[in-house]
Amino acid sequence: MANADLDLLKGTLDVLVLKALSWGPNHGFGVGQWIRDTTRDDLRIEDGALYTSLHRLEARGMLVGEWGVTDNNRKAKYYSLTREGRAELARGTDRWTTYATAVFRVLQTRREAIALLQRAG
Amino acid sequence: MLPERVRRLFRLAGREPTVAEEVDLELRFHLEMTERELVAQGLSPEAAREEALRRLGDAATTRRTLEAIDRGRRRSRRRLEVLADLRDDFAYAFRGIRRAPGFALAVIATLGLALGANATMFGIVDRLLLRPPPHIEAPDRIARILVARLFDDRPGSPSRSMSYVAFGDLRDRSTSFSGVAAVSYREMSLGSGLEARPVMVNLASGGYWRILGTAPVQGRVFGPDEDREPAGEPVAVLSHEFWQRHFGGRPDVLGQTLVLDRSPFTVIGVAPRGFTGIDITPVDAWIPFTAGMTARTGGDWENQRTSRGNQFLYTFGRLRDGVTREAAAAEVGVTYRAGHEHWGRYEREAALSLAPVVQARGPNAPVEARIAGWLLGVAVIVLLVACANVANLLLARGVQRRGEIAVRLTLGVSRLRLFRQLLVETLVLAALGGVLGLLLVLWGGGLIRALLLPGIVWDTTPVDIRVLVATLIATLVATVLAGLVPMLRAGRLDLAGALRGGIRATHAGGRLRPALLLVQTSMTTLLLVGAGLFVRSLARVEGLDMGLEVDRLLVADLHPGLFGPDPALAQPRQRAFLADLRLRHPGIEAAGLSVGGPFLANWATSVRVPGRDTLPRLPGGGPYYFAVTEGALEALGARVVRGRRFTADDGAGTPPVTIISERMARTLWPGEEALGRCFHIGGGDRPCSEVIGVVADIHRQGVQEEAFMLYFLPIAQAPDPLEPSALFIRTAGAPLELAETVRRELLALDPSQPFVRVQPYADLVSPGKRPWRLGAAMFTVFGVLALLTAAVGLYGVLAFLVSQQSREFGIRTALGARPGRILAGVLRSGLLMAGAGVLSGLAVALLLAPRLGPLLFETSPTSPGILLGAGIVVLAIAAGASLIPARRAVRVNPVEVMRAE
Repeated sequence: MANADLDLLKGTLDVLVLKALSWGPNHGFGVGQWIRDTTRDDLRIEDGALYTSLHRLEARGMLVGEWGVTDNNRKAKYYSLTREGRAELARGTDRWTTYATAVFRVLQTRREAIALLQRAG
Repeated sequence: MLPERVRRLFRLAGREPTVAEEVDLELRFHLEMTERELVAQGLSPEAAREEALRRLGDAATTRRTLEAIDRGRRRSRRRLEVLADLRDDFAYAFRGIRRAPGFALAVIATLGLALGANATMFGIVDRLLLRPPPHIEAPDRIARILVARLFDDRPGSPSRSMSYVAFGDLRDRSTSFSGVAAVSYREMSLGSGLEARPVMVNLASGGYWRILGTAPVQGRVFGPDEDREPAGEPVAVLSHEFWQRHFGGRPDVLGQTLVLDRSPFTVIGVAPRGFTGIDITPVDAWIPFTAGMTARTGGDWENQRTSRGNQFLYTFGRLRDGVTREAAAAEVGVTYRAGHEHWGRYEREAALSLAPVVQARGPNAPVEARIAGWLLGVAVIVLLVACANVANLLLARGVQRRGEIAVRLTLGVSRLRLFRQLLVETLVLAALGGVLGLLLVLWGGGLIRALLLPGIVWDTTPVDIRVLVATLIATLVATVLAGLVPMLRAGRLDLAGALRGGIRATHAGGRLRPALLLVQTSMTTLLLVGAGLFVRSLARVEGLDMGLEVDRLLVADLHPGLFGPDPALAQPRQRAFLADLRLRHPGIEAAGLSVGGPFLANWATSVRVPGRDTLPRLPGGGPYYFAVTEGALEALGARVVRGRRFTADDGAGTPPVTIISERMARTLWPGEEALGRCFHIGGGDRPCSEVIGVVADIHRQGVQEEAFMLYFLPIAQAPDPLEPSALFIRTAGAPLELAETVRRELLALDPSQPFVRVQPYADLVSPGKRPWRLGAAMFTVFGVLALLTAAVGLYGVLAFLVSQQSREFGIRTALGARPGRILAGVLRSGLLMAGAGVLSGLAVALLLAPRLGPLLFETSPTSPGILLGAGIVVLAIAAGASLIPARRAVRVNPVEVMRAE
């Protein structure tokens, strides 16, 4: 899915970012890394889009960004979920699951329907 | 590095990085981490950098997008923070009030009384001086036309009155005005007999309503067609108040009939609420001028209509656009003088001027308005004193709070924030004070208005929108004035010293507090001088010998024809009436009839003194005369200095006699005996009237007047047949008790009479004393208010100083200093501070003296007794306020003080 539709990704990316941070505070690089690792590189997300998503979520109060220090003593901006962010993650997960199930069902149904039509024909 | 949240929690200083810096830092970290990862996967550093950048996408756009998002976020965060800070500040202020309710109460009460005084006076001055009368269209284009006639070759003071003929000239010829109107105030009788009531009627010319641009709220108004000559249409426009009071606001009032002085008038309209024409005194109804004059004077109107001698109309006009007041005054002046070319110089060379519609801003401003202006100034001074006091209280508390403030400054609270917090705190206190002030005005303002300034229509409640806005502004100014000094002081706090604590370190406001105290004591002294001057003026007015005994005197106005149409036949009836009256009512000590009378009306006729070609002229004019019956002089309480009073025998058939005033005796026969001399009264060859008595000088129309000549003569011997216009009655008890009895007796003579006014004579005299009563009352109230405030302030400062020095006192006591010396020291510093204030206050009083002088009555504005007295009072209060802290200083226990350190 390297050329995945960007529109589809946009809403999805927010959910992915929220999910990535549900394990604990992390910086932008860490979030990108986690998503890549978890999707085994199936979802190639442009880093620019990732940071836009992070900042937008911060502005909406889903995340709080704070400057902190990494393990090897480097200054980095750490993001953590707020309570609203957690709620949004739950909602986003529901939405995405419903959507994905629906799409999956349609795709399944279509194959069976064609088979039925062929049989009838 | 502390997280941002922690830093913000403690409000630590330090510059927040800009949005661009933050974004840059974040992206740089990302690129470096990505590069490092790629290098670990085996790429060369150059390839890794290229790949990292590629993965980022369009770096510039990303950067811009992120910065835009962050900027928006910061903006909304700041807004929230400011709001939260403000909320904190207010919460802090209210917590402070709860923690020190005594302090807060002192500040709120001080400011509340001062702001209330200001709101009251502003409301009064607004009505008298600032606001034009309501319901007048473009009031700044309305001009009153005043005539300054020539007296003794000098222009006299501008007068409002001119004759009907002169008004007609201006109305018909003036080109500077789009219209000229005239109005005359008349008290008329509504109905007759026992039910009759007096109503104040405005006789208004036809152009009155159009020129003022006033529209009725009911029906219509009248115009030139209804004010036609000789007799106009008998129609009436009611004032809104009279409509409410007399007709209960009934909508079917139009078409009803009002009987005014026995003539019926049809109600055609109702004026808007609060409308009283160009003046602010009450009006019950308006009627066309010609109709009113016909109803009132009957046939005599024919003479008045063509006479330039009867000057009783107030004229005003609406200036045409582009015409200046000067040009208009010059134009009407030419017309006026042309109309009087056959008259004496005093009319022929009269100067006309224009005055604004607000009477108090013109040349003939009522004394009350001028005093009210002063009183507003006084109220502002009271507010200044209060602000100085509050500033002092805040300073004292600032000192107590130094530790707390220093800790917060150290923790990084910005001084600006601290500043704002103090400002909010002061604002909350001042605002509560303002609310208290307005409540006081709401409860007491109406009473003060009614007591001190009766006879003025108050068209708004004591707290109207303008008073509200003025009070709001005053509150803000008070906040700044009272809060500024303590705020600056807090900003300059010496941190190390304050943190070290200890009483010695607290010299904050060392010079400021005495300076504030100086302002307070000097202003208080000034107010007390003012109060003293007005109280003495009032005492002089009350104690004034007007040649009459005002107490226990009733006066009744008599209608023409009361004793029959023929004056000659009426005289026996008059005698019988007076004799009957005294017989039936033992409470009447003396009674007499009079033509005119002091504070009523003056008469004058030509007088010729044998042996003199001309009469000496006195500034007050004259000689005037009152024609009286036997008993009138006794009733009035006129003091016969020499000779005798009139008796029943001084009649038409006996030799003519007269009683003259002391001044007239002195003027006509200086240094000689006037008794037995004679002068001719009236023209023709009438016999010489012999002077049979001399009475002490009597005032004729006011409290303040210039010297004039006055004589009395028996009605029966008057040059022309005259009808008595007044009945004077001296009562044994309170005059009001007999008023209704006398009214009934007079109505018995003719039950169909219009309203018969019977009133205590004091009611005629007392309006003339009102200005000084107003000045004395308000100056005293404000002066005492300032005095109390200053006393509290002085006490506060000294108590504070003593607490500062208690260690020193302790040491001195321990070293054997006598308590008396310490006591004297504290007293001395208190008196020194107050003394400096007294001196500067007296200096200001002397500076203002020339301007205040004209408002006083027989009192010098630089009267040493009053200046000295005010100074002594302030010093005495200062000594009293110093005594308590001084005694505390003496009682200081050295051991305890040392231990406290």
